[in-house]
Amino acid sequence: MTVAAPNTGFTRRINAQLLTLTLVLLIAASGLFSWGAVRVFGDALAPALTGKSATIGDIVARQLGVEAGLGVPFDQIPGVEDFLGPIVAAHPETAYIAITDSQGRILYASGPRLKAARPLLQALGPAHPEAGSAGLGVFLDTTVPVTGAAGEVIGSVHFGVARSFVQSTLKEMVYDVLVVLLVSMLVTFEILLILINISIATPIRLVSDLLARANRGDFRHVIGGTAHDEIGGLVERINLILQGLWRRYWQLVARVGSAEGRSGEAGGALTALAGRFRFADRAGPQPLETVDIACIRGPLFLFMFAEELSRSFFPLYVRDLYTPLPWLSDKVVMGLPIALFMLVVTVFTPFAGAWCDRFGIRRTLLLGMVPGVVGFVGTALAQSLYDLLFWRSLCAVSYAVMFIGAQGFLAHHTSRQNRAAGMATFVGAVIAAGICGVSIGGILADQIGFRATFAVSTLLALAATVAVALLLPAGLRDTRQEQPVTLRDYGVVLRNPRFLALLLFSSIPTKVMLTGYLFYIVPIYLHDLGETQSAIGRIMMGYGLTVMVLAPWVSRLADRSGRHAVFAGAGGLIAGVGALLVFETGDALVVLISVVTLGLAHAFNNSTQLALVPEVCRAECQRIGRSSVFAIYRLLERLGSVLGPVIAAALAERFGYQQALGLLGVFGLLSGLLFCSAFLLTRSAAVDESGEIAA
Amino acid sequence: MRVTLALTLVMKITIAIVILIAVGLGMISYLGYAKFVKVYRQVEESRFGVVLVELKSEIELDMTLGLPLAELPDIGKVLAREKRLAAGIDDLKVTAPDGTILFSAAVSGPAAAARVPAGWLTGPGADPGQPFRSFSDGTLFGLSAPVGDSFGRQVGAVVLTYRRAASDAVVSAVFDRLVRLFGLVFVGFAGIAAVAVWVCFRPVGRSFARMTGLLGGTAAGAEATEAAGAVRANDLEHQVVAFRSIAEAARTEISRVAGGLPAPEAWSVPALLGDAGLKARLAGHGVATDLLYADPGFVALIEQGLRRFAEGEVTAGPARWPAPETALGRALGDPAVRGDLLAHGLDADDLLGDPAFGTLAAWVPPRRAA
Repeated sequence: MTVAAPNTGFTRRINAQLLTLTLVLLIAASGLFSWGAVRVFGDALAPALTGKSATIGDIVARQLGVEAGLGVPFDQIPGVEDFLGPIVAAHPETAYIAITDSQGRILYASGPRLKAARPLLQALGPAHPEAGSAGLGVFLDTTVPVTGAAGEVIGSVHFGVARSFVQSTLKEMVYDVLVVLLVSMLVTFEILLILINISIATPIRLVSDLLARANRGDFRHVIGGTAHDEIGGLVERINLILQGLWRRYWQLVARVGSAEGRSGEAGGALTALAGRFRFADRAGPQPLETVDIACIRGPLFLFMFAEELSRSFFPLYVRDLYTPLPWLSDKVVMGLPIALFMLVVTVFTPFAGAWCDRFGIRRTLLLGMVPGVVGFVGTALAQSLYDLLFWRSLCAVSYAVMFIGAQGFLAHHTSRQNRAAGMATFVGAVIAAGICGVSIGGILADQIGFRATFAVSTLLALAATVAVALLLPAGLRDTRQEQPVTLRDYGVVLRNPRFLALLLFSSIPTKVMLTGYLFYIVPIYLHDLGETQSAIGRIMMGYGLTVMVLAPWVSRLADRSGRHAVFAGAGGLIAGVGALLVFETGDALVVLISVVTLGLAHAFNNSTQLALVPEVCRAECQRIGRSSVFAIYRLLERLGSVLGPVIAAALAERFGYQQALGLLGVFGLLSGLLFCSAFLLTRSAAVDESGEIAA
Repeated sequence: MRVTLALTLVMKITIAIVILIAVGLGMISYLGYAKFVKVYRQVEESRFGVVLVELKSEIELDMTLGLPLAELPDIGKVLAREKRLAAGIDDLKVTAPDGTILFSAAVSGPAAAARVPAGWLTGPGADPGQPFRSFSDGTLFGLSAPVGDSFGRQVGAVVLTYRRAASDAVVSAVFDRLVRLFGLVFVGFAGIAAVAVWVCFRPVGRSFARMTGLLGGTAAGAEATEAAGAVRANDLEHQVVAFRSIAEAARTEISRVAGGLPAPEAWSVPALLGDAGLKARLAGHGVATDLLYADPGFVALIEQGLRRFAEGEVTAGPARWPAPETALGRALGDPAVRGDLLAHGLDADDLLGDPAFGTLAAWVPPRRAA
């Protein structure tokens, strides 16, 4: 017997307590450690920076000493400030360079923070014969003596570095630590969900479900496989009582049978007893089992994490492997692997669904992960673009299998009561993996390089396979016979103009913006702006974070208002406006704003587009079935993912990356406007047709 | 021997949280440390870069006088002087465009015929933000920059090599401090986690103990638990209380029906053997029933077990069959066999739980013996 009952209040309370406690402890521990670590790093970095200052100071002092040795009075050497200017310009950490005479009077000086440093330098007093470094207000001042021809100290060179420069050098490190902290929290959340479900929530839910049945007089089940803890103790006691009742009942049955047969008085009493309570048959109470929908979350998270690790640098990796092709420009070639990946996912999605139906989800997932693992190894070792295309295609097969397998698992093992929770599990794992993968991938690429990061992806894909083997129960009966979608079904759906409008002006543009704008152009453009891989990962993470925070809220708002089309249209317009920002000023901050805006737009789009499908295809859903309509929609929508990198690359080839970003904004804006026109202007017609407001 | 590790809920949760804290701190420390090493090496390289660029400028200035690079005077002195600018410099060299060493701070005068590896002057390593390229052979690190004449033609290169002994010591010291910091924070927070989990989740463990007590063997124990006033603190406890009532009601009802029946007949092995279906099923599991039933020792044991069971002496409990793979053990695990036995009023678990019956496992003859 398989159940998937919702959590009890007791379980929810334990879950909430455990999550809160763990996250508080993790944040506090990580915060304290990070603070200490940054201090340790700062302590070690400051002497290295002052060492460099001393070297520059030595060079300047030597030059001035040579001039002074030639007989030029130290306070009248010509062109010193012209000499200092390029040095200041060549070393961005320089706050000031000042040359003082033996009494400490400033003779020559240059530098962006000179105004602030001048009073501090004047207060230092006579020149010191020894070189050294010391704090000077907000500066780290390195002093090198200038000696005359006879070796006497005739002045000093002061080289100042703002203390804030040390901090800003550590800034990138601090950002990385914050990103890791965020990722730790998300990973912890995922691990805790699995642990809580295995050791607490699922056993309690089973106990609760068993007791609910027993309290209705149904004594046919027990709980199998108990843990050796307090919950296990309770389960053992309940099992004992139920088995005892079963034994007594069947002893009674045997005695009644041998005494007088069922037709007598005792037989009547027995029948009444069996009417009031339901006992297991002679084989005994059967174990009540549950399929925990959260158990798919682990493998799904791990595989998507593996896939997302390369998100922030994948086009750059392609660029490294680029070899000129006679008929394709480098920019188009760089977009090719992403487009091919999406194409393979699109093509294999129906097959993956069929495999799951035929062989069962667990087996399909276990076998389906193999091409992914091999694909990641091959991607890490790829020597040419052709290699890369092949290996990425293998990864795409696994992606399709995992995507469809996870969705199928949730569809099989959820009821109407907890289907929304099941889909939240799916979406939550994918978004969390997106945030973790893109940010950590950037940091790893910075530290260990692109190829080694793909090796990490391989390990994560392997871990996902192990998680499938460990977490998904063997022997699940989830095969089924589904009617395949036929070409005729496509014809039925595509004849619906509102469906076409949804597809062409909202769903496909959303995917184009995702793969063309975010996956393809943003990493290359940011890299060309000089941003580090870590910074690119952080900026791209803004998309996932925005979706994660806003999507549930927007989705609830849209459901409450019932105006899904308005939200979908607004999403398209917001995405367009966000991308247009880059037209004017293309710095990293604007790209970040644009990426966050894209996240906001997709928070508006993602759930509302799905909600619109059955709304606009009411007749088609009745005719060919809701799942067929969704399958067609999902497949056609993915064409946008395939086209995205190709369109973006073609625009970049013609107009350059910055203009391409802006032009994609124009495309998004126009699509949004067309969608709004198609849906909002035909609203009255829809009302007439269906008698309800569809928009 | 199979060892069962019994962990309480509080222990399980504490271990999980401590592992998560370790993983989180581990990720932060590894990535933070790796980032620090990268930044530190950049600063170090930048410091040596200052020396290299100064040397290059000086040589290019000297060449404006019109002398070829190989014939510049006093280059050895210049190299020695520049080498003193930064501690850790291994050597400074001036080379021809093909890598032939023209001057070196390590040797006095030109080092004829010696060449630097081609990879030091060309190949990967150029940083768009720096006027030099970097290279390494694993132990020796270095920088190189082209030297140009007044007409902008490359006439040679300057090469600086350095060792990382000093900076390695700094990096190693940072690593040690991080490890200490990790240990302190981890141990501290593991302790806090243990206390916090104990405070937060002990009531949960107690709640389960209460519920188990409520369903416990003795009525006095259950009443004491209930009297403690702690019952029904959550929805599960409500369910447990209701379950106790309904289970009690079912038991009473069964007893009431059984009370109206004549006393049970005395069970005997021959009666059991009369059931052909049971006999066939046991045989299907490889139990040579004829041989078994013919053995007076077996019959005596069975009868003893049955009698005790019928008289209510045997208490139900988990099966402790010493060798479950034996034929009879397998047969008694078969739901159909169990059902047959139950039809005779016998519970296979009770039989297996009876020590007298359990010893049979040692000598139950398999089918082939028949």
